[in-house]
Amino acid sequence: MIRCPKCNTLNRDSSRFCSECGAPLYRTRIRCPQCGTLNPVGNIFCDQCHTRLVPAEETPATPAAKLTEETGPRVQGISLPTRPAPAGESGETGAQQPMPDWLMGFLGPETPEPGETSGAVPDGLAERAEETATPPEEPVTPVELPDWLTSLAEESAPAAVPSRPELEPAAELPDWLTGLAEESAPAAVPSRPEPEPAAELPDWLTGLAEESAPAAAAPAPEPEPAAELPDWLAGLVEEAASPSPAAPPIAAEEGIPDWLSGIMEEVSAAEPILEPEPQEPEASLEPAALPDWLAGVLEPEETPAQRPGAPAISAAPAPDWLSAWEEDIEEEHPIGGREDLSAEDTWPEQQAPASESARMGAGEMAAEVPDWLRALGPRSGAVAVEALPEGLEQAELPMWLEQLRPPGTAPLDSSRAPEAPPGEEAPVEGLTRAEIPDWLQPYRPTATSPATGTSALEMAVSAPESEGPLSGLAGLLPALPGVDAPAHFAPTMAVPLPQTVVQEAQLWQQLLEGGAGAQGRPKPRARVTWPAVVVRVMVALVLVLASLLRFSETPLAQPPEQPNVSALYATIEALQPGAEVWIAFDYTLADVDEMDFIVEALLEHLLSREARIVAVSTLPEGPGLIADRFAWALGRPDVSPDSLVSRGFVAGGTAGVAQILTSATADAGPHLLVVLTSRPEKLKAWVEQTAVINGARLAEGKPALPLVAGVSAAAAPQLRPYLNASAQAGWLSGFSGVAAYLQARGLPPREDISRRLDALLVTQWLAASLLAAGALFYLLAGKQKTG
Amino acid sequence: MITLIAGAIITLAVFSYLLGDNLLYRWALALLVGSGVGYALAIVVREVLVTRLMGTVRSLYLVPLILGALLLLKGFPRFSAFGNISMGFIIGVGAAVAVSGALLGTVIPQVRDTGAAVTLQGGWSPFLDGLLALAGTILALFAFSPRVRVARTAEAEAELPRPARLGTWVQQLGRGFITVALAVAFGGALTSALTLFIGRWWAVVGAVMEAISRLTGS
Repeated sequence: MIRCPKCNTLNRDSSRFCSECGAPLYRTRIRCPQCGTLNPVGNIFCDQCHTRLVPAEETPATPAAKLTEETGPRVQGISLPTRPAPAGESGETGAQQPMPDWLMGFLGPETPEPGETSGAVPDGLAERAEETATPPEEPVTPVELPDWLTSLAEESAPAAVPSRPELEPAAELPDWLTGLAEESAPAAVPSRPEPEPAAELPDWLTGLAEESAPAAAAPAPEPEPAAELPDWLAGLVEEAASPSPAAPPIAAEEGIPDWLSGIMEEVSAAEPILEPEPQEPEASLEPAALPDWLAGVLEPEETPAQRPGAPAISAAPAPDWLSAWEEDIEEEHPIGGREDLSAEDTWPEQQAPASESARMGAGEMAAEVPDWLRALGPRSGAVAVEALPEGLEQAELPMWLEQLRPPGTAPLDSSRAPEAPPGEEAPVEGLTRAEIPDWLQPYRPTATSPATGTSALEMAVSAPESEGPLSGLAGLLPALPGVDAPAHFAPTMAVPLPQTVVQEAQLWQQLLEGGAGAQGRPKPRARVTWPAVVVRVMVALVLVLASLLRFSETPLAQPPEQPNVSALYATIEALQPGAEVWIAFDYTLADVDEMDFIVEALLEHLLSREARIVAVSTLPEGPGLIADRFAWALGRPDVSPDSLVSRGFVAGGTAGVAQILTSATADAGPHLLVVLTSRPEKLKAWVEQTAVINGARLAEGKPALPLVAGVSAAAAPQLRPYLNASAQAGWLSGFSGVAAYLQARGLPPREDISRRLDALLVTQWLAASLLAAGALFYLLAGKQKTG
Repeated sequence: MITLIAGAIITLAVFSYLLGDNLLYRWALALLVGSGVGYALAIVVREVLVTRLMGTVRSLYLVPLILGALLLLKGFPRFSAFGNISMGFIIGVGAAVAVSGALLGTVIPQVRDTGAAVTLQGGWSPFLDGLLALAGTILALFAFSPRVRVARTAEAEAELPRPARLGTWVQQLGRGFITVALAVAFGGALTSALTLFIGRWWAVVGAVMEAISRLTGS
């Protein structure tokens, strides 16, 4: 996760901009030039393909770095007045270790006490130190100390060894200084050429080197005395050579030394990076709380005005801490020269003998200079930036450094900020233009590219995908630009679409809108074909004929004699008075017009035979039908209510039929079973279950239960085999069956039934004619059309 | 009179479908379906629940009562497994009843009557009827036989061996019988529909005439 330096929102690692405030998030990985894998910043080799990520000449670790690894945390040194370190917290982090007392003396009276400021290095500064030290691939020996100090160290070291063996050039330095040396040395070396040691030394130090040369125990390469020594250094050299303690004041009559100029240059170059961040500043990191010496480092242009008490280098832009250091020296040794800067003053913890201080001279003074100061000397910020690897150059700045950035400034230098495309408005002051990646550039909502004149959509379509799951595929339609799209932007279709696709899309859009536009549009009416017209004419003709035949006096047809109806009549006629007859009302309300005639014909005959009627149904509509027919029956003369019993509805379907038959035949059983239905499956169920019951009854020696049926005309064709095989006691169907039954009983034909039969006959002929016409049309015209 | 006129109006609303789908037809359809479902629900509650549970309570009804209660648990996914007992009982009993009835009431009688019909005892007409029924039954069974190879084209039929070609013919004849049977069923449905159509149309005409006679006082 990447924390936004502006709003502290956590973003994904791959995010380039904050999802909350849109602030740019800098990459924290180094992309491998070989395989494109994103590697952590500290990687030297790629995790994926082992390709070197940084130049080879910068790789080797310095002895100081090795020492740092052995001795612990390496990033310590510069003390900022930050938050106090928690009690008991160790210095494992390297950022909150208390500053040694001897270093506090260097900081001057303005420097806060260690107990107040904890002397800890801020986290961000430590990260900055690590970040700067990331490419430690530098030659070991010549880099650890600048050349101009190396010679001095080599000269003074033999003199210091007998009395203070721990003051070796590397071992005597505290860890935090070692860390700074490690981090600053690699970046400094590539930025400067490898001159001869004599030419590299500052003039004044060159004189010191010459002065201390006789006291050195071991011979060291003698730098040539520089001819361009400043006067004060020349005097210092002379004083060191003579026993007189008088020393000229440290003055830079001819300007600041070269190494201090390097500091200025570096600070000036590094200023955009080390700018304080005013947004949400921490109390301990306020710029006003910075010590002057650090303020001088950060703001060198103000240094001359803040150093009134440094007359020796008043003309030079030296930092305050250096001035304070010099003031302390002058206060404690008002007359003493450089030889008076003994180890007791600078290294109180190591208590060098006072007698040895004189022979330490300028060489020891050079050793007293911290490494981080040496690192700052010869380096320039611009060169350091150039020395960074390509991937590291775009690395994400640490948060503490982002917080130091002043408001209104770009997070990166202006050379990296994307320029506004021509034709667009200038960026608002204080806002940073979004950095759009290259692969997203074709999707910009510009109508045409100013360079080529081609549309962005065309460029996007022609260019293959470079990232994502569709990487390598060309011809992909870009997504509708929804980010940074101007209000007047209207996407243009660069790819011509078929008309059908466009119409379909428009139809979908209209359907989705679903508004008044779709409703107000006239609905297309289906074209009426002539067969449909013929059908409607035939239906109308049927209606007219049926209506007219209702008033005909002479029946058109007489019902034919049906043997099954005669059998039914004979069965009912054979019933004894008082015989129990079960009637199943298993037809629906839709069949009432037809079934009522059948029910009335059979029920009238049964009641005339004084049979006891028990009605039952396996359909929910049955009880209503039973009640209606019983009401009709009770309206007839000589009908007792006791002869009509309703068992109502029995649930269960086929199981219900079996239950009815089982309960009905438990005792003596009914003498006849009449099934009135318009559904074939109902009659099948009754026939099948009756067969089961009859099998049991025959096994018990009882007579079989006779079954008769009255079915609708629609069910008769399917049920005829069942009726012929099982209902041998007789059955009837439809109006023709009713008419035949009445005729079998010797009754005169009912007028209504006769008229219905006439109407049915005519309509059936019409329907048959229509079917024949349709079949003829199919045979003659439709088949040819199909072929 | 009111029911007669209401019936006529609803009938006309249904007949309006001849002019195409319209609001009247849909209204009549919804009225028919809704009233039918409501009536069926009321009948079930009155005839089954009220009559058998709140009437004369018998100890034998405790078993179906418990099974019915378990069946209600099918509506709760957490306890639906308890309803499987009732479902198993219903399906098992229903299947047993249907299978025994189909065997004793359909298969055996049809086979017996099909064979018994092919006799000359009743004359030539019953004999031909019985022979037609036997042939139709056998050929219809062949029509559903999956082992008979069917040639779709004349060229494919010519490539078939003679026995296979005979099977193709038999199957085609079986399909012809099935087609005739379906046509007969369609004819019966058409006849019944026409009967109902005439009845309803007459009801409408009768209602109109009754209204006219009432209005004229004749």
